Amino acid sequence: MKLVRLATENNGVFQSAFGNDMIIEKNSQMALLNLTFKSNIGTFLVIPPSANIQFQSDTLDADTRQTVTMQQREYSVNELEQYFKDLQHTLNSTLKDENSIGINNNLGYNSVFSCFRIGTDDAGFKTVEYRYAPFINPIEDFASPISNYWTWYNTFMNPVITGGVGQKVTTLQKQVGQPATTDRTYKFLPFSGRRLNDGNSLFTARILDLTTNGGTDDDNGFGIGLSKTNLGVNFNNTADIPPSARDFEIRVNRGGEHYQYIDDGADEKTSTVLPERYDLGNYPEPNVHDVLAFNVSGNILKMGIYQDKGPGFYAPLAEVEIQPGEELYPYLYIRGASTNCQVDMVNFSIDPFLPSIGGNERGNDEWQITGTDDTARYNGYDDVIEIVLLEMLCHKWEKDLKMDLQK
Amino acid sequence: MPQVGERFEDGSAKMTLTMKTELLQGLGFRKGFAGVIGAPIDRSRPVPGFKVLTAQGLPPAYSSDNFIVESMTLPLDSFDASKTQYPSDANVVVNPQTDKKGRRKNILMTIPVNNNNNGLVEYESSTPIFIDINNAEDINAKNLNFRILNKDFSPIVQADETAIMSVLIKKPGE
Repeated sequence: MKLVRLATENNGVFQSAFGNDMIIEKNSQMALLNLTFKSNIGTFLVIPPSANIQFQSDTLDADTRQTVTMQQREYSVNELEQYFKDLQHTLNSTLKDENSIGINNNLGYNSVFSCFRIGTDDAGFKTVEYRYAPFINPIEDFASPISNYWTWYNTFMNPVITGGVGQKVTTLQKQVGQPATTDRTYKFLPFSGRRLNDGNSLFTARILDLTTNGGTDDDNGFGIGLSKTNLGVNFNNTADIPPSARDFEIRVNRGGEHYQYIDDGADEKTSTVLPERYDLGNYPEPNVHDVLAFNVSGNILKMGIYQDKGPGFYAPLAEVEIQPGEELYPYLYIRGASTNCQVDMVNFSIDPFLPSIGGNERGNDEWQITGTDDTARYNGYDDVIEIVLLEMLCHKWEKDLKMDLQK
Repeated sequence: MPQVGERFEDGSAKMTLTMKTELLQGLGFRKGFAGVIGAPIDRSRPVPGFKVLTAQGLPPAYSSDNFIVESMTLPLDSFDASKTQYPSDANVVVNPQTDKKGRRKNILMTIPVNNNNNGLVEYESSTPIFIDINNAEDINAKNLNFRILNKDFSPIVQADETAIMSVLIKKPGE
């Protein structure tokens, strides 16, 4: 009997050349005695240094290009889903405000409100999907009235839609007679899991009219928030929004009182920013009123107020880095009575990969492009959108571009 | 001046996505894929502004395995039936829905061992199973070559440690 020992570093291929005779007699037999090796099977993927991802939303404009680097690490076979999540997150970090508009500050470029997704097709193959994210009015989709994206209690809340086609305006307020409150029971919450899109996104609300009720309590204004919890599940008409679900918030109470905010899921913090323009009595033209905004750019959540203090003036409150896999659900609550607090121009860019109601389960097929005929253009805010908000939201954006902030 | 929607609507928008090859292979894009995706943002789906890039294969992740040790120089009296299709002119009675294609392969041993945490395989045969070489004459085998394969006969990727294998060869009557 012979024992032959072999070794290799060549991906499991053993090759030998014996200098002496190796006679194998007629009708011999062979067996494996032992084998030791290490495969890369336990390691699914090794992300090397400088694993760059470059996304250019317009091949004709280098200023729409963004390069990011995926963090170097190893993924085991048990971390497959984590890899997909991290890769999606890294892809979405390429979508930034400053790279979405190109060298000519052109809002027409396509990474204004858009997102990537790592998906799976019917055959089980992974996909890299990129899609535009429409900036919608969550109260009423004028193209498809059944497709509201927020839910609320009609006894408490009174969203008023006025104007005909081309002039529709949505104003949010409490029902007449409902009292001022200090909690978040008067609320609009996500319906059917509608949430902010990953990638480049925006959530805004404007103070239409804010007057003081004469008191000193926190019962006068309204707040907008982003929760990591899908708050609309099992909607309770009269329940407060639980503290554990208040991840990010911006709240205004009354003129002369600083904006409040939450940036860490804990208690409210007092900012140094005061409301600038907020009441129709002193400023009858709402175009100049403060706009509360959440904006995600390059996976950084920016919280702040756009104010009429010069072109594109923005008062930042806080910035927080979004983590892989985090989902953000927009909500709004009102504390002041209808005589003291009214909110309008409430919009957010929505996750376009959520299934439509009764439609394509792999991605909503109802939303049209922002700016096309059957959606947001037909409303009463075109002048605001084109002349004022574009300057306020981003001073780079040009006045004559047509972006819709209200359906 | 284009609107937001126009570049999606008229199909003129063209994006470029460039990714490191390793990142794409982790999704199942085949080796040799350029790693650069330049594609118009088209209306291939029933919605506008939607681009889908689909991998050609499944992600290369194995949670279980059954390695094959194959002789590359000496013929062995071993067989494998793992292929799924027969050629249409095959002279066999077969149910293509259930039957696998059989063939002779020089398999020395199959090893249903794997550590999914670190990829380490340490196999020791307590009772070596001898396979016939069926050599009709004596052979002076100065070259003994073997290889370790994945369960689908694809080459393994070896980590940065030397692989060691010991084989026994016995003559008739031993």
